[in-house]
Amino acid sequence: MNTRELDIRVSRKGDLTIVAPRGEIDAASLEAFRRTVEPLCSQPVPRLIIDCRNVRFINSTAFGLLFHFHSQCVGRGGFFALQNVSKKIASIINILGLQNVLLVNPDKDGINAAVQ
Amino acid sequence: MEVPATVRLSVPGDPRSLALVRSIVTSLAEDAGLAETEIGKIEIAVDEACTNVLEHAYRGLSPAPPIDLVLHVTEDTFSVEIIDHGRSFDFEGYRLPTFPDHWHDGNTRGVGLYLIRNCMDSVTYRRGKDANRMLLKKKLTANPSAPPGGKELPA
Repeated sequence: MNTRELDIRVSRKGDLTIVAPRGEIDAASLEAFRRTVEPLCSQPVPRLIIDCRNVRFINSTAFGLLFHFHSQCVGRGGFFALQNVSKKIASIINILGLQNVLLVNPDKDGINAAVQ
Repeated sequence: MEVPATVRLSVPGDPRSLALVRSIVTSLAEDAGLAETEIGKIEIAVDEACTNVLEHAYRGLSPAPPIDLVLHVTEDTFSVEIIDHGRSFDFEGYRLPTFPDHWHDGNTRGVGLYLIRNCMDSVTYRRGKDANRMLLKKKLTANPSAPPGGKELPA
């Protein structure tokens, strides 16, 4: 059976936590993604960037989870953004009406504004 | 690729099969000359349809039956039929969520069929005694810049 593991790297840059998944976030890998990211959203003031440059696919449940994480982070006075999102994934974000809810591919000014 | 082309496959009823299904679907869609965003829409529509089979039609079944797929490419249409051997569902009764209210109301699930309908040009569902069939079609001549939603869906 063709299974593709989801590899998730977590690093810190100043007060930002960068989560960099590599692979596909689907029904088989969703729990691994949730287990890694959820505790990071429970920090006192979570400031998370999900670096999607190596993410080839995200399913609908994972998009729902991203919104949930976004709400958690913002609710704690923090920040949550998706960086390096491909055109293909961005088009699904638009269909789901998340383009004005999630912070997607912000530039430095966008990140600074959100952090403040 | 010579058209018409047909690919038939049967995969185990297991989430770990989804990557293989997506891989075959995207490969065939690339061969058909579809744009990247259109390939992405077909890929997620097929994935959501198969995920719904696993989470709903096959819920509680052990071992879960396989999922059968028939991919068919003609000069003007890319179609994928997803055939399951589990419980059927009320396709016509499904109420489409509205966004972004759906998210703000605290829901994180329940958008698979919405995505399927909005990513494909036509979606039909047929219940059967031994199998249920969801047929997804994408016109190869469809304008990729057309906005999603608002399409007339055949019954």
